[in-house]
Amino acid sequence: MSPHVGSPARYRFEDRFLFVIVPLYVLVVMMYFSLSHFHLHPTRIWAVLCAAVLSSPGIGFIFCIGLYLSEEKDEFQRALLVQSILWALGVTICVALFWFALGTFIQVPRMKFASEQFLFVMVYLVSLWVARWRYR
Amino acid sequence: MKNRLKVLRAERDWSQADLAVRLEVSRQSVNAIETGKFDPSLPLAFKLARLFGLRIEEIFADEESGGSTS
Repeated sequence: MSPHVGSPARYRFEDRFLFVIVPLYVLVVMMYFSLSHFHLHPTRIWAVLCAAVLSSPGIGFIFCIGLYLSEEKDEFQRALLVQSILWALGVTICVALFWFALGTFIQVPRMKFASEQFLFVMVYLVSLWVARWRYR
Repeated sequence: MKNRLKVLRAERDWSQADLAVRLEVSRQSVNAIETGKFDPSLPLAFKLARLFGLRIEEIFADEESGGSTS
């Protein structure tokens, strides 16, 4: 194992992220915009299916993270990843709660479903980069 | 937690990267442990002790108990 490059587990995680999460996210964005553009309001089983598809990147992300944590032998790298996920979760929950609270007092547009997931992934990536830079 | 990793490494003329390869961890991990920013788990501490042929307490010292690495 070379210390200059990532571990095999990290490469597998990055591959899964690129080939599972990114396409799922693209699918979510496309579906979200088609639903709103064509003013579609799915009901019953279609509503359940649409909700399942829209939440699939989050489920996929948890699955990829779980696999990575079980495969990664380097405990420090595991700690960095968990730290980044906690940051991402914290920021996403704070922003969503703030937006919800703001909406109870004044008229603000509803937070888009896809934007919460985008925010989570962005904060996760930035905090992971910062953590790795800190211990470079 | 204080440790003597840097000294032990220098005695053997190993870089952080060399030690990382021997421990099968990333160089970042060695750097974080060495600078006291990350405390290794017991299995990793034992691995370090075996690698240097020392006891764990000869490498790491608990700052709160006032212990010092010999």
